[in-house]
Amino acid sequence: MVFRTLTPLLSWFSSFGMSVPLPGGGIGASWLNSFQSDISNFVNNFVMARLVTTLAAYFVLRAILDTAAGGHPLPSVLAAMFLLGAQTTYSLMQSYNTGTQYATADVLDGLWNYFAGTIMPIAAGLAIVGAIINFATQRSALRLVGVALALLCVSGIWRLILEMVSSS
Amino acid sequence: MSFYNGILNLTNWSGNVILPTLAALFIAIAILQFSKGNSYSHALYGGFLCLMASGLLRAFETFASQRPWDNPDVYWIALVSLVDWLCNVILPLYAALQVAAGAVALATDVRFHYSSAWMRHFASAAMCLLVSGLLRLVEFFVSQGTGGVS
Repeated sequence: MVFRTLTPLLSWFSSFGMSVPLPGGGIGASWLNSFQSDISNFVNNFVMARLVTTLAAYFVLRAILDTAAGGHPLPSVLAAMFLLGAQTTYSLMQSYNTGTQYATADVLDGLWNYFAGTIMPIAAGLAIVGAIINFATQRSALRLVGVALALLCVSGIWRLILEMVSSS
Repeated sequence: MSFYNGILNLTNWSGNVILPTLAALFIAIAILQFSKGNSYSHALYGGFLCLMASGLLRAFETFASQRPWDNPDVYWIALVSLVDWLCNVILPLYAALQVAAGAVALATDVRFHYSSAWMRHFASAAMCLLVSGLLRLVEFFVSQGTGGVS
């Protein structure tokens, strides 16, 4: 995220009185240009196209093994999904980049809103599924009921914490 | 491929495919437990709940949307709504069920729970219907005791 918003971040140096000119027109030195091209190929063709998929498959296998060992499969399944969606997540972060000096915070704000408003309500459904299974198998279900409600009220809980901190 | 699609489809698959299948399993477990005289209520109600996952999520969404999203009281109100729904909607229904179970137990001496008799069913039904009053009674006792023992 910092790398993605590095250019807008450098504009802070101008406000400190330090000039940080960014030359346009791409990379002029041929050896540096080929280095950039190699790195780009490595990330696109090896990491994103092959390695991420293999790692995701490993996490799926690990979810099964975790369950067999008495653990919970959900963290590994979510990790696999996150890896498979890395490219889309990157595009999402790009869409939140405002290009201003506050770009890093803007991206973080955007991600917070996305998780609180889009992902967490879906996770509440998963919590209810977990609560039902826990209840049927005579394990504690109340904790997951509270979690489901909390996942649906993330923004409200954030406001509550703000109120607690700000009121004297 | 995106994380959003993944978690959305995982939730839909869990709630709409796996849970209805598990419902049959839990009902079967309840029958087996009942035949052996063991407690079967968790498996039985679990089977019902498995078929109602989507409805429960909609109910929780309703509880959580009683106030605007940025209201600090939204979680508290959601909990209040949940408790209110449980005490004023579900418990009266459970009371009716307990009255029926008590009546059957009284008439035929069949026990729906291995440790229960008709008196327990009727007492449970009464307490389900009196839960608000019992809470007010406890509050009254506590408020009367704030002055200490004289």
